[in-house]
Amino acid sequence: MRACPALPRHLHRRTFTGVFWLHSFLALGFSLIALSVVVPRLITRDRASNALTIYLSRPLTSFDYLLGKLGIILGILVLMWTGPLLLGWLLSMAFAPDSDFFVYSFLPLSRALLFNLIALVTLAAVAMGVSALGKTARAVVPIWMAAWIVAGMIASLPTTPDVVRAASFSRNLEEVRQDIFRVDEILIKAGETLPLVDRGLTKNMLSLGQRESKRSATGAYIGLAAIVVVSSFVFSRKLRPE
Amino acid sequence: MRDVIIEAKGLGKTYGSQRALADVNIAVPPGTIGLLGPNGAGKTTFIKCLLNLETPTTGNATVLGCEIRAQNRASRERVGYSPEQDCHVPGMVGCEYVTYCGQLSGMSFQRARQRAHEILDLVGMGQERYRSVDTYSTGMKQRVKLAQALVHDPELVILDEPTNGLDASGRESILQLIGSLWKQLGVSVMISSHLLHDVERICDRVIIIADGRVIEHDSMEALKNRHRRIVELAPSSEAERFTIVLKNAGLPVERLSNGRLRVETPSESAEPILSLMRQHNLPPAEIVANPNALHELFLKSLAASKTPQNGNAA
Repeated sequence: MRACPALPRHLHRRTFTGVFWLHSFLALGFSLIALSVVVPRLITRDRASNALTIYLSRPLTSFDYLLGKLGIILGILVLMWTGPLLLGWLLSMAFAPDSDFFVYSFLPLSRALLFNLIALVTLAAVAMGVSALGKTARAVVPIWMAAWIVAGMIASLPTTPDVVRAASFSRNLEEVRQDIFRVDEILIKAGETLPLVDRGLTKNMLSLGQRESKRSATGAYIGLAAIVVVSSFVFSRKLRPE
Repeated sequence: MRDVIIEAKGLGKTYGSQRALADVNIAVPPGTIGLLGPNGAGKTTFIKCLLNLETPTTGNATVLGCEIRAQNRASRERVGYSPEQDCHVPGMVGCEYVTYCGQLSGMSFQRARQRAHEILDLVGMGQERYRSVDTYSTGMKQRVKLAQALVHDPELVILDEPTNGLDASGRESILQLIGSLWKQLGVSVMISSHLLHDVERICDRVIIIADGRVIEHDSMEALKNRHRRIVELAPSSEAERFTIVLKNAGLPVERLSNGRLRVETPSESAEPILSLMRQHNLPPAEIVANPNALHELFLKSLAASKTPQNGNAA
């Protein structure tokens, strides 16, 4: 028995890419919701209670503290995202009827892991930067919401200039996700080869794919890098006992 | 036993254009050391520099033989610190918090747990240790701060205003405890305070800081002897006769509002005055040599520090 007999062979890899693309979308959303709970407690509470003085007057350094907090964020994100991704893939491999599943899923999995890594770095930096900004949860929650939801909504408006759009980490991650998974290729190939009855759907898939292929993600990568640098700067500035 | 526990060479710290510490040169032997100075003098900055909580702008220092910059972690391994402001890890109960602080200093959980209970007993914390630190009163917070500073058996404890917020009996027990750390356990203590009486009572050495400079550093005894000799005596009766006898002996006498007599004497001890009293059959109810000496010396040092020629004392 061959793998995925219902699909043409050249679409196998793209099917896996589509699955991983969908997973990354859901995992990113769940991770952001989980971080909304963690961010007000992460550094904010330590700043409010002057716990930093206690930590740093011991044989610990700011770097140790940073590693500890990073460990918390990475733990959450691995639990919400990387863990299910790898576990799901391993389970599917365990029950796969032949090696084709491994061959066709490996590249999409690599792409999913690459995007996961970029998102981990970005979210960790943003979460720590935002959490270090305020001394109370009441102050930090609106900043986090503004950085995530409000900036994301503004960036999604068609009239928003590119510079402003690049200031939204959620929007940048979205564009990087599209770029890494090459969604344009999937849409175009699916539109060209799938025997769809609905011609309107085929047309929409092709036009969407072509539109995506014209879009450059360079600005999003630069935007993410800038956001990570700024967040790290804020975090390091605030990581001093008062 | 170390000869010097803290040594600073040209230690300085500026915040923008504001100078908090200026070229501090000092070598501090072990013991109970009082760090005195008015508000904003640079006491806390000095302590924070020693603990690497602030990066010195100039110079260097060694704490227990470890250079604070080059041996960042090692310099704090054998040091306990109780800051002035409230600080705790939120959401923890007292004994958990002290245990956790022990673990942060490298102790195993079992050892830290056992030591935490011993230290909490020592600082006078009862069943409150099982309550969240967030709910503690100011006095309890002071005690738990002291406990976390002592939990890992440090060689040096730095205490920033440790009696703030304590009631009279709490203050008394904490002062007794701090005073016993060096005498009974051999733990050196540096206590920063603006309460001269507390410092005078428990410290055997004093450092006075003003305008970011060390303006006095000596043993308590030497500092008091440098001060003009004052004897305060409480007449048991016949206060007028006391005054006349002292005045006739050529000693300047001032009558205080509490009925006591303040006498300036050329001698280092109160013995000549006692002899004089015995001679005239006037037994004093109480006699105190050099009362408020530290207070007067402190004010004198501050006044002297405002003159431009003043440098560091080491």
